[in-house]
Amino acid sequence: MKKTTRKTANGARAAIHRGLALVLYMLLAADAAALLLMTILASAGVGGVWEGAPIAAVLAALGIALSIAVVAFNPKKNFYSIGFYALHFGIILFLLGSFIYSQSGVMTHTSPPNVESITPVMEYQMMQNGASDRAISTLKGYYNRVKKSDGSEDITDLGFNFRIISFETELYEDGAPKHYEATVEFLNTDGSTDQKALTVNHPIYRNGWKIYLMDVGANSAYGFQEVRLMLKSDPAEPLSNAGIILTVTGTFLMCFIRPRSKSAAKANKKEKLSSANKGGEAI
Amino acid sequence: MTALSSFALSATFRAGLALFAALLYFGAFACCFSKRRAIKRLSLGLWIGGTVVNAVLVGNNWLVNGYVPFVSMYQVLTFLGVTFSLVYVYMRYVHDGEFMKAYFMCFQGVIMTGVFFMGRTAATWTFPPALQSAYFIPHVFSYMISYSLVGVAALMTCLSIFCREGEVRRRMERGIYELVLTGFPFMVLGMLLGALWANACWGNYWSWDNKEVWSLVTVMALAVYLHFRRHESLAKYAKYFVILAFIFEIITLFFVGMFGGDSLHTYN
Repeated sequence: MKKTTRKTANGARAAIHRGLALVLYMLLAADAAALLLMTILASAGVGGVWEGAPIAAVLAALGIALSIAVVAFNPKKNFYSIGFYALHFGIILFLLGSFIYSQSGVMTHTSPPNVESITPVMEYQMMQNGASDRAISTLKGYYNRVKKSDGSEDITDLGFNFRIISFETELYEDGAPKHYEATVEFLNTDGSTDQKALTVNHPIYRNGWKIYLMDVGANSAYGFQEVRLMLKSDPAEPLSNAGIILTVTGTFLMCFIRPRSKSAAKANKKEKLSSANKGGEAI
Repeated sequence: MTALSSFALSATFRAGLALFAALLYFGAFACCFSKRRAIKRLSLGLWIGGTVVNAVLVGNNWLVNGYVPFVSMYQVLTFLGVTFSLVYVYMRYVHDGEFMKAYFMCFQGVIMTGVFFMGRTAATWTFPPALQSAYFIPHVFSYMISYSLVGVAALMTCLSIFCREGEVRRRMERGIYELVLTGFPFMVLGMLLGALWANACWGNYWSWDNKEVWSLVTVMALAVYLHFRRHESLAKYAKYFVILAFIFEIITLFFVGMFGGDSLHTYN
């Protein structure tokens, strides 16, 4: 009786396993086909392929597939399995972080001009004309609200005021840029100010926002030098970073800490010995 | 940097050194096949000589630029030659991969031949602000390690297809697996360091840039190899994904830069 029950349970487990495997393979195949199609479309110049619902669906399918893989195909408990869980959960965390950012994150590109070369009136005109600039000046030369880069008209309050007070460019002899540095001034609520240096690769953190120095160049429409900034608020950034760290750690654990290293090395040594006995080395 | 530039080797001399290194590598490769012990030792000597000459070129690039020479294709390929030597030493002593030496030497010879033909390229190169990051060296070096391992694995895979079933073929297949297992984590590391760097520089982990997409495709091809290899009925198809990964690697490294149009990864 017990044997029959165990057999039935094993049979049911095997059937569930097969079903999950089928779903997993179908999801992965659909994902691969969708990514291939999207790559072809993007290469053909079709815009917006990597944005919006299609890519969200592909990434969601990948997340579900990985979750199935973790549940249904988990290896025996050893160091290898730690790597397995870290790697797959890491990817899921990263996808989750990206999803949260897509829902609640804010990104905006701004071109606050160097205050020495432009008046506030011109800034206002820039916004009215619908130029690429998305920042809105409220106080004299300071910015505290931004519009999203996705074209929507939503205005987000930064919760702080800032402006660029100076900008320096160092060039190589051939005129190529060597170093950009902007000095950003923040206006505190008590009226005091503090300044911070902003360089490429080193964004400034403020109130959950990151201010990036993107570029500098001439604004052809208005004929002045402008500093191009980007502001971003990503509440899921720690989650995405944790996902990346877990993925890398898991991959190294899976590939480096596993029993095969010793057995393979032993097998190789045996082969080497037998090859040496026969004389000559085969490549 | 200007003062150091005066020590720069002339373009003709650099091309000559690259050709000399290539000849040493190819000589070492040819000597590998001899059964005589003396010639095998000569092979090792030629390979060490080639690595030293290659390292002199890397040192020159480093000295005249004042930064780790990973910016231009010329600098990257010159460094890649030395990376093959480092990786071979690791595989030789950790994974008992002495039988792989011929493949490593062959690759190094081909790479240095390429460097010879690029010998007229300027040794000095500007270092744009976007590249001045702590992620720069680990990102590029991780890719170099993985590219060298996957390159050798692909070459061994191609040869193993024509190899008869037997001990030699089994050893090659095990070697390919070891190479991919060592190279894959570095490729993932390189890609994800790139994502962290992109987030610090451009405010986005991923931009679906041509180079990013092709590097992801390369990683996925290797992931398919590792997954298929564990599957009973799919294992026989696994090796073809190593060859595919190498093709994607070449596309990522060379062709995306040449024909990929506007790319975030073009700095000059």
